[in-house]
Amino acid sequence: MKLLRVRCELATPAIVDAGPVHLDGILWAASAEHREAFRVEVPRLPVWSVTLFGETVALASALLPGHYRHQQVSLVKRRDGIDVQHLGGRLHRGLGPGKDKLRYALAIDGTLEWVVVAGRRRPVLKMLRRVLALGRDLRSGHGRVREWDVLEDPEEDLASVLVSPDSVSRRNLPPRWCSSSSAVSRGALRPPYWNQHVDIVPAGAVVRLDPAVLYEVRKGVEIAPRPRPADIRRALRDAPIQTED
Amino acid sequence: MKPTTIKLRLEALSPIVHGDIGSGKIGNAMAFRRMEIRGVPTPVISGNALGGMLRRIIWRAAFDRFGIDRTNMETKQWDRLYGSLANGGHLEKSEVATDPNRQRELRQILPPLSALGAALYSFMMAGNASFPFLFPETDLDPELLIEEVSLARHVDRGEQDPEQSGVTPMPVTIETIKTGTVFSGEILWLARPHSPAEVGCVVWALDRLAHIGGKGHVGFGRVRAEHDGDQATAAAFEEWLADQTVPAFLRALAAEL
Repeated sequence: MKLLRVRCELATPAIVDAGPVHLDGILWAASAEHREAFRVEVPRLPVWSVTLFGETVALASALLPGHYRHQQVSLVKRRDGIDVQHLGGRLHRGLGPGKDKLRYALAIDGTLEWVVVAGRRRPVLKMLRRVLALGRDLRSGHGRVREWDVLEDPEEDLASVLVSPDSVSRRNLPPRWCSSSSAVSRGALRPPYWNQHVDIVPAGAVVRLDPAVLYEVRKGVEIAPRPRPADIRRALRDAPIQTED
Repeated sequence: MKPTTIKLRLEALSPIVHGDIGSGKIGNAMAFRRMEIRGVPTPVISGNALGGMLRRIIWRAAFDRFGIDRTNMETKQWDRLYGSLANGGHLEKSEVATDPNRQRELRQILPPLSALGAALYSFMMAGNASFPFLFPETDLDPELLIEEVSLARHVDRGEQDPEQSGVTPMPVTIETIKTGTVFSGEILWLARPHSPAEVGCVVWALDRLAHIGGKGHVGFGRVRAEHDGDQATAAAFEEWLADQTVPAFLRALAAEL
């Protein structure tokens, strides 16, 4: 069990919402793509986790967009004159030219960083390399990843994956895990993070972890058992992707 | 599994105009679009612009081959079909429910829609392809690639009185990218599966891309495109263009929109 630093170098600005970008969410998405490609239904992340007080949380930090430099990007919808020749009726306002949109995106001059606790470095890197882009508006070239890198950091305390040395939570945490915290809100503790249905102490809040959590984190438990080859073969044979009809 | 990519190089055969809506006001001059790369403002061509050009090339050719236009369809249906597919469309109401089966059917029957995506009035279809920001290939200060060009409207004072007509001289200064500049980037397919025809429509359109940016009618934005797209996929798209079942599907889709 090792503390790893995950680094991402962007090739183009990434449009991310204000909320935290959890590394286990990124890995989950990469895993889902992989399962879709091979029709394997068993999810597995190469990340360790802790289960305590009925909550399981992956030992992977979240990126706080506010901690990075942003740059302005614009999105524009234009109609060219030839379009008008093709149309039969009057111009529909909704078809453009649309409103020019200005957005703030993570600048491409820095390296994004997460920390994660994992058994080995290579499976994490292998899975991350499937992630080619991050954030929104990917179709217009935003959020392209130039390179992922995973480095071992034997010096740092494993618990720093949850809380930074200056007592700031590095990911969403269950309120019961914190003996003191400044904020509780609605959110998610596991992917998909847009499904915000439980109380959490959000990433970025000032917290003090319960001693029991610190003990368990330093021990670490794998998030899901490795599927046996026979399980995968059975999943391939018996569980095709379900459709609504 | 390696992602599907197409490496693209665009060489400017005439100055390129690509306005920047984010820049501050600089009188009547129009700034070229720039993006900060490691703190250095660098002229770029947006992926949105590239995708928009390819979208029009593909769908105008498809409508032409299928014999569908405003003269043989109900006007509103045609305009909404053209607006959504060739212009990217827009949403008129919130998406209430997503029908994955319908989306899979659309992707299978209309490969260009699958590649480019569109807002189909009541739901969004994400394009599988990501069009890149095109960055200039240069080791020099990127500002040296910028050239200011002035355009002026001259008035025939011997023929008309500007006081009466209102047609007066109107000089405009435009920032352009110098002729000979090469931009490059990589088109990337974000999602699988995708058919050869889906990749092929982009390859096919890149072979026909001769212009990008604004003010094309006065000679700006001529480009030569080089790419490493698989020509076998372009042949698959040509086959799709010859598929006689597609026009009926497009007409049915237009009635739904």
